[in-house]
Amino acid sequence: MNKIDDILNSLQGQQPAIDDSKALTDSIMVNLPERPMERPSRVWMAVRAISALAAAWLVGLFIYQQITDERALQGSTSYAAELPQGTALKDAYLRSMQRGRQQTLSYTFVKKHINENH
Amino acid sequence: MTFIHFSRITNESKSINNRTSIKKTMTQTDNILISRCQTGDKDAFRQLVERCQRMVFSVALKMLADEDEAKDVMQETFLRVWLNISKYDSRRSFTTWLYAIVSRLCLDHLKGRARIIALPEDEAVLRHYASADGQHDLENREWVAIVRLLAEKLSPKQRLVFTLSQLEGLSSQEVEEATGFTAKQVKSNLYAARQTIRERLMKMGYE
Repeated sequence: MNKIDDILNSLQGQQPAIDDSKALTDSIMVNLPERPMERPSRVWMAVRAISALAAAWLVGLFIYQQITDERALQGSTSYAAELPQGTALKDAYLRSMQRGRQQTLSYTFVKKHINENH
Repeated sequence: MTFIHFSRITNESKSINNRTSIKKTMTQTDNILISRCQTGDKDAFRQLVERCQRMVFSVALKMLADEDEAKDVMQETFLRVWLNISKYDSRRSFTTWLYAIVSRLCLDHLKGRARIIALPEDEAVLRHYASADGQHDLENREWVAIVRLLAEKLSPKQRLVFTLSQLEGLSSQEVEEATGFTAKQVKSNLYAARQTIRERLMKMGYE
């Protein structure tokens, strides 16, 4: 064969032989795990995605709540101190709403400071 | 001369027909075996390995030009097939899916390797093969020598496209599916590979 095309065409379709094919097959089979990995259903995958998003949102909300409380604590200690002793929790909360403060005062925060002042 | 030429054509068309009918039979049997593998049937998987391992080894050896490495890639290929058999889409050809897996693994192996350099004795192997009258089955060491010579100046992608298209005889569409390349990329890589190999063989005195 002197022609390049003849050489390349004669190589086509020829497959090298495997000397020890049975031993190779055995070694492949030995390394296999028990069952192939099963593909989860699409519904289940959607539920997982939604749950993960919901969990992330809740964590974010919790962090936001904590940051807001911290800011309120820094800006509003003077307000808590202004409350006369014996102020009912309900009155204290109403006063805070009436003042129309920019910072949000959570119900828990106000209750905590009233208790501390007693 | 005419008789020899005619008989060569007849033999080639016979082999093409044989390949097509073998492919059809393989597909039907493969689908049955694959369904059983998807339920975790290891015996079915063993049969699948025995049917397909030569094909996988062929691609790996022609890509990597190293028998031991080709065997490693072959084992990795079948492990991946087993782990992902549940994701296999039966609308797709199983052999094309297999080619895709072994191709990716070969490219990964080539990334971390130094360039292939042909040895002086590799030319002698090719000359001996080309001088023999008619085809003869190459031994693995001869394959390694010839692949080293042909693939010396090819990029990994060119080598992949050349191996699948020219040496394995896949159609352009099959090469696109196996490699993930566009038709344009397949065409340009194949053209570049053929030109490089042609220049190399011309330097050796072939025309």
